[in-house]
Amino acid sequence: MNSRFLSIGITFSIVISLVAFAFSFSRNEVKVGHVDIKKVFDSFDMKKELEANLESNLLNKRKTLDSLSFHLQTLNQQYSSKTPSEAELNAYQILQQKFLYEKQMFEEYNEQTIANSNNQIIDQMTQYIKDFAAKEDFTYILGINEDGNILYGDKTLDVTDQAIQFINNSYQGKND
Amino acid sequence: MISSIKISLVIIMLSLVITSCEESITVNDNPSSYCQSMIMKAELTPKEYVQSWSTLPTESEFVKQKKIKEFNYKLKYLPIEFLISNELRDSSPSEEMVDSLKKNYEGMEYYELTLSIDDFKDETIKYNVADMQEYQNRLSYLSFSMQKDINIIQKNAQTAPCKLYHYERTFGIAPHAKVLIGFSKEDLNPQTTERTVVLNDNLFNKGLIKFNWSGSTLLETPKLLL
Repeated sequence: MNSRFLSIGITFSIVISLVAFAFSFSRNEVKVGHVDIKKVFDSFDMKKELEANLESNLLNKRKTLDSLSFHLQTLNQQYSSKTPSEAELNAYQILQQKFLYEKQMFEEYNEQTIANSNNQIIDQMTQYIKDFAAKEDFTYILGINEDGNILYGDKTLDVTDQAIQFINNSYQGKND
Repeated sequence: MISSIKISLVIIMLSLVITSCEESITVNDNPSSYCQSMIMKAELTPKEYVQSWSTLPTESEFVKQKKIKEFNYKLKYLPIEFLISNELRDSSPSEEMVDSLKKNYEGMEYYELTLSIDDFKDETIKYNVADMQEYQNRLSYLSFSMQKDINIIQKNAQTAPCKLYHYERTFGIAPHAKVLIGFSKEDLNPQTTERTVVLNDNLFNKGLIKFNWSGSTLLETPKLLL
């Protein structure tokens, strides 16, 4: 009788131990979430701020270009009704060269500034998503994008809104 | 019967100890220590002030830290009492001495900005530098131009420029770059204690780095005990 109780006791304790170990193991289980990359990128405060700065910056530079362009158009109209003198023609060509040079500089500046801003945004966004994953114990956060490798994710695993809130707080220095 | 229950209890206890062991390690690893307890005090002697503020842990509410890739940015608030204590050091100061030093420092709000890079032990501005020209450009930027890239934003986007700037060059002795920055209190809105210090990092090109203090944290520094 005693040995029967003993064996029941041992079996019971083994079962409890297994449950405890299973619980312990479950805490190390893989946790996966996914985010809509485009939505995260577009909702990132840094992107919005840099975009606004860039627009006002480019607007100022564009004014110089527009003024040159307007001047050239006016001369074009004048010279369509009257043949320009040699000096006028030279001045016109110099102005035209200046316009082309300024236009090229503007386009290069535009391209470089956008590329530079995008790098800065992606560096910070990637870091904050890593921090978000670490804070929330995610093993993987997948980026879902129509052009990407992952085309579908169950809604219950969608952490886009939480991620956006976290990365914006981090960017604003409010998560420290 | 009793012995089997005892065995069961022992095994259960062991299992619980094993499962909780991970958490107990984390709790015991918390490095809040001497200086953390010091800044909780309402008053500190000059010596205690220097000791505690020089070694403030990163989790202190007076320190804000950001990491973008391998680049680390740390901003520490420096109360006037600390700057006075730093000059007084071990001496037993008179009230006149303290008042005289206070006049030198009041009118500004001070912070210490520290830049460092993971696993890089040389001079910070030498990190991934292509040639001597790039090194000189970085040095020049850090010495003279970075000031214009720092400001404080308060409520309603009110912006105050950085009025005091000093780069402490270490010539490679320390693996970080330290900058003392100051903002004129005349430029700050006295109605709010909210602060967002913004650095537009053109040194390592990481863009806008923001450090925010909300509430009354910066008003709750210890007083100087004479």
